[in-house]
Amino acid sequence: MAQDNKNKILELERREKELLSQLHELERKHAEMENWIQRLGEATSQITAGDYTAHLPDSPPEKIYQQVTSHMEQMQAKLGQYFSNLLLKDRLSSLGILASGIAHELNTPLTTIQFILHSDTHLPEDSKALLVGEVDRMSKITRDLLSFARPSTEEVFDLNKAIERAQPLVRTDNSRSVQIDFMLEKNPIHIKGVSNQIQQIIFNLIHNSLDATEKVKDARIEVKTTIRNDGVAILSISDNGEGIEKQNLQKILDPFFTTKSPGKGTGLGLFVVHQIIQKHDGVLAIESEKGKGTTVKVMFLCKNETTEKAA
Amino acid sequence: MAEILIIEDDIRLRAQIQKYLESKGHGVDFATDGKEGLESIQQIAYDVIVMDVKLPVMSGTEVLGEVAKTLPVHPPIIIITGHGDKDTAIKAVHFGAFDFIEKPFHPPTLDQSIQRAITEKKQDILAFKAYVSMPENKGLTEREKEVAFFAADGLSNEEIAERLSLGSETVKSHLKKIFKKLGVTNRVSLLSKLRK
Repeated sequence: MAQDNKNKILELERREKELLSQLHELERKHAEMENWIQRLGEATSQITAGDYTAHLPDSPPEKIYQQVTSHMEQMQAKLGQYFSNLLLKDRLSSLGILASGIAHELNTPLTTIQFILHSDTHLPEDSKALLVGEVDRMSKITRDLLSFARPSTEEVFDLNKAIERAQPLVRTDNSRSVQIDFMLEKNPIHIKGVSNQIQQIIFNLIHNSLDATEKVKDARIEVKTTIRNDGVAILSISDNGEGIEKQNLQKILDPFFTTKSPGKGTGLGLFVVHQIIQKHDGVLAIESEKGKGTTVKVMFLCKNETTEKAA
Repeated sequence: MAEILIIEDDIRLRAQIQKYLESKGHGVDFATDGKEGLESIQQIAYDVIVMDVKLPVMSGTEVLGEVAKTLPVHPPIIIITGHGDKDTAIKAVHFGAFDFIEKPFHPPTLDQSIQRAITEKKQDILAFKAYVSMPENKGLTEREKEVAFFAADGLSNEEIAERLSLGSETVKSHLKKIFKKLGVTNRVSLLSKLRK
């Protein structure tokens, strides 16, 4: 009997130990959980405050919470991208306003200088010609700066029509009568944005191609539009010109970078093109091989009803 | 050659344009704000008007609107503009401007536009001359009355300028306009006309 009781006590003691250790384990898990939730809270409050690089705590105590963090990480990345785009646009637009303001203010004194030079009789002819040329160069810069900062309204319009509207300007620019082939998508390509600015892109890119083919015998330029199955509109402008040096490819979008002769290029053409494309949430891709030619592709999200239905 | 009115608020550019056009044989008057410009357009028979878009008191586009509203016919108006106002300039042509020139430009561009205006708008220029010569369409502006008053008092341009806190160039321009409106050629005949 005594032995029986002794066994029971031993058994109860064993159970007690087991329960205690389970309790201990639960307490530990609870603490770990609390710690994890606290760190999560810290990270989300950082995100709320605008720090989209805040680090979300990894290795959650339970596997199920892994999903929570991974979804939150995706949200965080999207938010971060959205806000940095917004910030960039904001910065670009105030930069644009400043640049165009300066350019606008310079136009009057530049005109005054042209008049003074015109009536001057003391300067030697070659100095005078040089000065007139330099003032013309400054004028070109103000013109380029103003072209992308003009007040503008967004609308849905046909990319093909914008290309047609840019044609008279392109024709005046094409003084060497280079052959320009237009291969436009049959259906209208509706995109959302500022039609004038898209015309500016087309003009600037063709202008570059014309400059690049200056020394080429059978110069050819091809302007093409297509709609991809996923609803992306592609405008591509190719030439068989001199191409871009590999080491320059990274710099060509920088403002004032140019390899053209001083009187000719301002280094603002492609910069303006890039700014406009970014403003339109588009993508710019440049492929070029020295001595063979260049293809510039511009991609926009299509607002075509037909393609949206088909997709 | 032609009688030209320049409406431009930048004094340096205005002086250069004036010098250039005078060297081409034109007679040149100027106004420095939109309102003064409008009054001169309405009352003096100029052959051609050269006007900036961005002007104090009244913008160039407003002046064009008033010209269209108040005059049955008017001389050709050439708009000069900074690039940023290209859209405004195109609108100005719709409002009846003869031409627009974007700043910065070379002097001959302006001269060529003036020559074209004189040839192509000959009828308008003559019709407006006839309209302005009718006595009921003449009259001095308040500023011009003040200048005329002091001039009649025998004050020199510099003295008038000081009294009215104006530049002496501006006083000279006002006097030229007064002479034109009253049909006199010098101070002496202005005096006898005003005394009558």
